Amino acid sequence: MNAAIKSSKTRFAERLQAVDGHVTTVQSPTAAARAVKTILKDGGAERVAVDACDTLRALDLPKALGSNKIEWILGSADKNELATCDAGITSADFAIADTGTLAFLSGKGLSRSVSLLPPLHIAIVPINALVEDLDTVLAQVLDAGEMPSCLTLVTGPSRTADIEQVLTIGVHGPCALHVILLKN
Amino acid sequence: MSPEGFKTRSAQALRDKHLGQAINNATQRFAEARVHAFSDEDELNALREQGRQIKDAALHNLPLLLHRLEQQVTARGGRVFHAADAQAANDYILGVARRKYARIITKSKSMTTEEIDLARILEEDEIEVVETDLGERIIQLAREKPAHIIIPAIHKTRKQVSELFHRKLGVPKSESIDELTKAARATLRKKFLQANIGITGGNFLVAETGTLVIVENEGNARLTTALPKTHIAVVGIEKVIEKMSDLPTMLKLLTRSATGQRISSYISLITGPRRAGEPDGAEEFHLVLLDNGRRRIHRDAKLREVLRCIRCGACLNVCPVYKLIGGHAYGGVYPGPIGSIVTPLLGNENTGTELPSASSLCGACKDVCPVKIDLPRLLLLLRARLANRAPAGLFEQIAFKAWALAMGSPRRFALARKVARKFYRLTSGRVPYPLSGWTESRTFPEPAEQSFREWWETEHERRH
Ligand code: SF4
Repeated sequence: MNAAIKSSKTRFAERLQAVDGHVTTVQSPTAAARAVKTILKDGGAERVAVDACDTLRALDLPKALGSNKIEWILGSADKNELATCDAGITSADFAIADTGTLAFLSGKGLSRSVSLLPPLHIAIVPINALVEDLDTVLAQVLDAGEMPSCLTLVTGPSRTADIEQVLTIGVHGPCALHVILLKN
Repeated sequence: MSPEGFKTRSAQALRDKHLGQAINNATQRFAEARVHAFSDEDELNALREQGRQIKDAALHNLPLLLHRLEQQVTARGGRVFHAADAQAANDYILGVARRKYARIITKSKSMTTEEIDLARILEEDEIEVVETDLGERIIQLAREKPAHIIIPAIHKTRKQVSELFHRKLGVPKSESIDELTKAARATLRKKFLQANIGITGGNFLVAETGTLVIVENEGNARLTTALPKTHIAVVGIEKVIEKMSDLPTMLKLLTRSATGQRISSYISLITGPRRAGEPDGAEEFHLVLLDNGRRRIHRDAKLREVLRCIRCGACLNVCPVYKLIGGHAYGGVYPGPIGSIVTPLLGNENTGTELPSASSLCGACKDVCPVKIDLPRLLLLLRARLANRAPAGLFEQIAFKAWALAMGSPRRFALARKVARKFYRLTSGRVPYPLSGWTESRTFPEPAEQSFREWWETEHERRH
């Protein structure tokens, strides 16, 4: 079991890094908060939106990181407000090893835009969200009930090659994606 | 679209050296990316066979699956409209737009909406329709049509884009693609925040769950579906697949064939409008299922396989004709080998009838097609059918009568051969009108000095 998790974690990281995503693994909630702090600082992010999901509520980043350098926007779904944020922090429901993909299920109180409007997206993902492939995600979602109104698959930052086929990052969605895998 | 139209357009394209270079570079790059993504031949073959089976099974049960899809979408509060043709689709969408007092509509890339010319209809109603895919936006600002299914602005250089953005968006000129992209991001972001309707296409529809699947890289389709209160998706009926478990195979085939990616940056699976307690996503979800000739194709057993197409663009990237003349010369919405087949079949049956002949039948398209469509066979079939439909011209009738006469007796055949040889010497292979239409682009074969019959006769005499 342990070996399987380890190898899918490695594959997830390799696949995501291959498409310009960043991956870090941390051992504790405190370490996750520290990692967030570094990423925000490096990205010069001051206004930070945080999703209203259980994982992030439990982490309580504003308490862990304080509010003197960062303005926290908690659980907002106001597009105009989110569009002014420098970073958006979410969790993810699944991390797919096969392709380095995060899967997000829409749900009560959760905004689809926190991971979309700000230029920097940070996802803190419990390591037990790792699965092998998309087939597993779809089967598990259907087993648990029905399809959510929106299931989003995210693999790396926003990209385009529409001008002279030159790869360019960050056209409409986030310009950078950081995944923090959190061990329980 | 007349045959002359195609000839003129392709001749024009051939004279444009820059265009040829740009198209060649781009298609080459995409074709190589595809080969790289499918480096495991066994996996590729297995996936293609699965893809073919999934699409064939779905087409086999098309009416049933469309019915199930509709049930699933409506059970979740979405609305389904069956549009028989372009006009029905446009009327319906215009109706929704008027009811919602739409002033700005954001749109993500969709070949189906190009097919029905939706943007023009909405603009005539003084609604601002904003294409949000970067390539589509460039094309829209330049008032052109997409030149490739996947890479709409394949023919534009950074310099052209810079001038265009400067003129139309008032941003400073720049030769940096990064800066041009940032300028597009900033100007389009405003539109995203203002729009109250979002229009998308769709890559797949899953009947089992009533799910619309949108594949993209930029995030503009996510913004188009998450922010506005109303989402309208326009999708061809052939996009339906039966089960959610069919989807991973189809996605693998699509993204690898289209851009060589293992998976695209974003894939949205949308199942009805937002639900109670959800803060964003569309409150109203309309699914417009477009026929526009697809049912006619579906009824025709010999043509049906063309409906397997997942619009990946791989056949364009390897087509020697497309690479030479580019997308615009085809004159329709869908260029390349697939365009040469569907343009005469979709919508008005009298458009693009010359396109099936715009192919060398080299078979490269068939080799790359992820759902194993036999494109050369379909091109030949359409040629034959269109030739039977159009009465032969007077010259052709006389020519074939003369041919039949000459072939009717050995004496007349020998005479015809002699005449042909003299004629060739006189003209040195450049024959006068109307035959010149043939020799302008082909080398006329030189008749042999001695025919087989002559050789046989002398040889026979010598031996006996
Ligand atoms: S015909 Fe085949 S290769 Fe061409 S666009 Fe359709 S699916 Fe792709």
